[in-house]
Amino acid sequence: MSTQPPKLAAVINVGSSSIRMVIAEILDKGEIRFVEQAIKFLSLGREVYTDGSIHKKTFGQAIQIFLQYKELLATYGILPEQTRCIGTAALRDARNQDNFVDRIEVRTGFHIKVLNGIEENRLSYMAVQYALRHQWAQVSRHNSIIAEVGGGSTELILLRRGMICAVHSLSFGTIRIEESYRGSLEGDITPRTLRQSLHSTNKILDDELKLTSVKVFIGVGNYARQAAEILKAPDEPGAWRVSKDAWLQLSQQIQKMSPDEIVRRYGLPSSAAEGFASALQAFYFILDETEAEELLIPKVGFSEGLLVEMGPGVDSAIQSRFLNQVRASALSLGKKFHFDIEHARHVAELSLSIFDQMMSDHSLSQHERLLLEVAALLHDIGTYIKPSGHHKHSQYLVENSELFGLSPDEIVIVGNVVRYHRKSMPLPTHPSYMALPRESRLIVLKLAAILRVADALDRGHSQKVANPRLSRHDDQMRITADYTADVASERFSLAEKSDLFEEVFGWKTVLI
Amino acid sequence: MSDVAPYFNRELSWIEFNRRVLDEARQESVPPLEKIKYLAIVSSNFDEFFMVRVASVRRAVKGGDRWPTQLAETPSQTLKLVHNLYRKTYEEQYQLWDEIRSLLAERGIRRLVPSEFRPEQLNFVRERFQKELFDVLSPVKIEDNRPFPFTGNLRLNLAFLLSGGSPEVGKMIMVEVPAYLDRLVWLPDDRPGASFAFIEDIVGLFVEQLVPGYQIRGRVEFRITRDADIPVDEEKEEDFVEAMARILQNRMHSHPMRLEVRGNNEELINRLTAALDIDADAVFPIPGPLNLKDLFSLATVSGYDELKFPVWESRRPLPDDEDIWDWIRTEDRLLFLPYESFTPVIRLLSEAAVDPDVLAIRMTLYRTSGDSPIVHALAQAAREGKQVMVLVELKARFDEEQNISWARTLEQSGCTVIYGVEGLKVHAKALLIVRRESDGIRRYVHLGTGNYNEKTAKLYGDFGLFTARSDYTFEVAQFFNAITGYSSIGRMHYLVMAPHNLKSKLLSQLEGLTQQARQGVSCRIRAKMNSLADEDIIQALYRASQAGVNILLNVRGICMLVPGKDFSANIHVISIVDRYLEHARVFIFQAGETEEVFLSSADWMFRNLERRVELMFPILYPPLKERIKSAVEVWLHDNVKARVLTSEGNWIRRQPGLTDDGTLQDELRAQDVFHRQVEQERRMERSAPKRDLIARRKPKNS
Repeated sequence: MSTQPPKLAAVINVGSSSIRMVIAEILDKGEIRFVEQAIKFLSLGREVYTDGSIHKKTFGQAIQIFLQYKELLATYGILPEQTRCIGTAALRDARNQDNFVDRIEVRTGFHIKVLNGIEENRLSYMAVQYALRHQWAQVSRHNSIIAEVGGGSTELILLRRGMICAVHSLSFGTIRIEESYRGSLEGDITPRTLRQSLHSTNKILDDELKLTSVKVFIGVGNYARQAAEILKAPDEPGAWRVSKDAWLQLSQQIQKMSPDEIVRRYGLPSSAAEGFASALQAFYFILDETEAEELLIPKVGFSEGLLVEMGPGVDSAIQSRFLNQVRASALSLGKKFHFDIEHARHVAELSLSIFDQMMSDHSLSQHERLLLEVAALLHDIGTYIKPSGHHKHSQYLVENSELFGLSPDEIVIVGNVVRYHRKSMPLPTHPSYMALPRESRLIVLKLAAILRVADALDRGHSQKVANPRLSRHDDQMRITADYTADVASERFSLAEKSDLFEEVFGWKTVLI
Repeated sequence: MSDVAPYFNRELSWIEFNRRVLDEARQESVPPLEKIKYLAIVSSNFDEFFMVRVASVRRAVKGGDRWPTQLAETPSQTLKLVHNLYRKTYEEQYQLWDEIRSLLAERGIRRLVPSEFRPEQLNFVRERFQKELFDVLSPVKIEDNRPFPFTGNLRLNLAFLLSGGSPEVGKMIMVEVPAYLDRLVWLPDDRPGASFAFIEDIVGLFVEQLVPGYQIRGRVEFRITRDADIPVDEEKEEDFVEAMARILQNRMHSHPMRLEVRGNNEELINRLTAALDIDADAVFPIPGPLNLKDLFSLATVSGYDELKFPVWESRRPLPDDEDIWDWIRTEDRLLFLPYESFTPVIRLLSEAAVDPDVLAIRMTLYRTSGDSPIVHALAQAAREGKQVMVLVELKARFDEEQNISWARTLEQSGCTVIYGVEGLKVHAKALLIVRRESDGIRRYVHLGTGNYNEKTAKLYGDFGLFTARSDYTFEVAQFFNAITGYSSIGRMHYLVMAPHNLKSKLLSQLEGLTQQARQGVSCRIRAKMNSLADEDIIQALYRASQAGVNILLNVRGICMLVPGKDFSANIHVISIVDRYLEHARVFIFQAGETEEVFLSSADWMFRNLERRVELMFPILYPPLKERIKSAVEVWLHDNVKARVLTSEGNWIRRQPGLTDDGTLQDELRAQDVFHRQVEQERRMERSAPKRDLIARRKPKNS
């Protein structure tokens, strides 16, 4: 009886149509055992996708839900501040997000962290890997797709033999669709809108991984789980399997039913029936593009990804694989614009090295490190349009391209970092910079300062400077490095481009 | 009953059940005081029937004389049939009362009227009147053309015609006998309990003391039954407890459904009914003392064991020295009440209350008893700092007053009390205990077919399940999260919940068997319940019957299903009325080799399936499945207390020695079989050496 009981952890997930809480025990090897589960439906998505913001009345309802969850958590001695609360799609897109998060915290003590796209994808991917750990060997023998049709968007993750090779976010969302076509008499809007949405991505998809080579289809999210349960799909550890035919049948059946009938017939809460028909169709539509004959539906959702992460057994390979994928995506964008890949990679390496040696100066996280890496890889792509003013062209290209794994906000940060890798420092007269929230501006400043120094160190595009080592002397940041040739032009360039670095961090840089 | 009617009339079927109860009072094998108990039960049942069912039939009459669905009789026809059958029933009841009374007199218990009092008895009652009655009885004038004085609901009143004293002629007064006074007054006699009188006779004897200067010209006793089917407006009321208290108040004034009168003073009766403004068809002249419910205290008089059923002691399935957590954790356990004792439930709660590892207790309380150890344990647990959440159903009919007081006690001790679910009565019986053990959180659960009431646990036949299965109990936790408002209802694999999916699950079960039977699979349904009155379910049973599913139903009370017609040729219905109230709900669905066994808190009635929170839960552990199945077989083979429902709606008592199909069979009384089974186990346990002695013995070999 002396052994310590397993650690308890709680996660609350504010989603598009519900607030869900999971309390679980985290056992050895990262195994999760559920202790308590609660879900309350709330139409955040509907409000955000029609009016842009969350209604005041809904604030009150959300507060009530959090207070009730607080009671339930108290049973297990878990305090609000020990609970991981995350907000996804709907909250991310809500104009009054900050206000909402603040009100919840002030009234209930729970702090909601609104996840960005990359974090959300990562957690989702981790949850899938956890749930399908028994099937993973089989999954990774083939090309596969992880699809999640949600209220606000549809997320696709493509895997080539178990390795992520592309991540896409389609603007197709069931609630979004139903809202925009409310009252319209047109019938099958789902296939058409989805086809449009998918078509624009299709070409890119084909470049990355032909959908026709996909043999395993993994359906994720509430809608998929709901369907599997209704179909009483054959059970296996961690997942259900549903045949393509059974799915189509259910989809057609649901198509003919009113939301009320769906609720009654399947005993679903009414907000879970919203968008259900569209979701089933959308899944089928994507499935039909692939060679897969069945859907594999993990029993766990997104919240479980967080629990996996909180456990001791996090597979760091999963994370690094994911980061690789973001990197690969940046490189393929660069190639598209015929960038100097050697220079890009070298500047990225130098940037990261400087970033890592300056942790106490910038106090940024691994996440910003990734943004720096992407910016470093893409800083020169604007030369494809015109060398002069290429930093501005780079910004334009970055901000208008699909960079998977990054949210729109993050892409704008990367764009700004790229913009300031040369020439003018950020000024109050620059609208794109000034449009950023203060925190983002700080990130841009710090990352751009580092990128400028790193770019200077490869002024000649010949990778002469390697392995920079930073040391601090009075007000000087001395950079010692390994040279393969004369570095006069780099020294000269550094003197010119370290202005922002000095301004931001207070160090003069000297290449020794 | 019309030949084409697919249903028996629900209200008449209910009265038929009470006639079966009454019939037990005719059985020679039933001891006299137990017969009295059956008379009391019938009276008590009819009170509730008039307050609720008759009230709703009358409302249907007023609302256009239509039912929501097509039934053979209209509401007004039903009302007439109900009144007639009620009259016939209570006349038989009072005839039995006279018979049993003389039986009791022969055996030494006599009911005396004042003219039979011996001098010392007369002195005793006079003193009693002076001391206890004089101050609490207050005569009230009844005046023609004036509002009738407050008479409350179900209260015993006496009305008197007075003369003399003043010029006023034909003055009428009424005296209410307070409900808290014992109805039976035990008189001094050679042996305690040998003679008693009804309190109204004593009031009548001395009533002139209350109205000095008048003479009594006539006397009647009367009792009013009011409409109690008044819903709470849950939308409007802020404080539900207060709203409930107000409803109880309203019930005292609502429209009279029944006036029982005893006495033959025409003038008094006429003036009374006129003053009460009561429909003539709601006035029932009673040929004996009103409200035989009060005879419970006669039936339970101490001594006279020879006039009662022999004591059947219950078995304690959980040895006192065994750890209750181990007991539940090692395997699922079944409790068969009242043959087995309710103590494991009480022990589970009281140990949980003081166990430092217990984090939380969640429980539903529907009808619980007065000074309940359950309520004490919950209150203590809350004081010990555990999170205790109790769902108290204030709407449990006619127990509301009691429930309000428990609810407040619990709240004061720190429990979170939840007053029901809006629009629904919580009828499910569930208990969940969350305990933090060395290898993690573990949940202990009890689910039952009967209420958490240690008094009825001695009288009602019920099943209860204890389990600590992780995935199963996780759903019980979800169930509590749903009914306490923490969560929406999630999908569940084991538990089936009304009003969420119980009805659809039952219908799909029946539909599934029907289809399999059509394909030639041998299918069978065995179900035991208190009432069968849901039209959709009955239709599904008819379809199953036509597909060849063999259906054996054991329905204690209302049964609207018509068996043995061409559309229901494969359906057989029995009903058992015996010393314990049959209360367990057991449903067994069998298709070929697969067999599912469920227990439930719900009857197959519209109100249970759609207006209440109920649970149906599967029995997974094979030994328990077998035990329940064999009990169901025993019930179905009862040939002493079982009656068979004919297609005409008659209930024919089975004859020992002969089964329905004419084969010879030994006498089999289900409750007696169950009793003897546990009796045998008890004997074996007693004679077996203590287990720990064996455990300490050295092994002989090695």
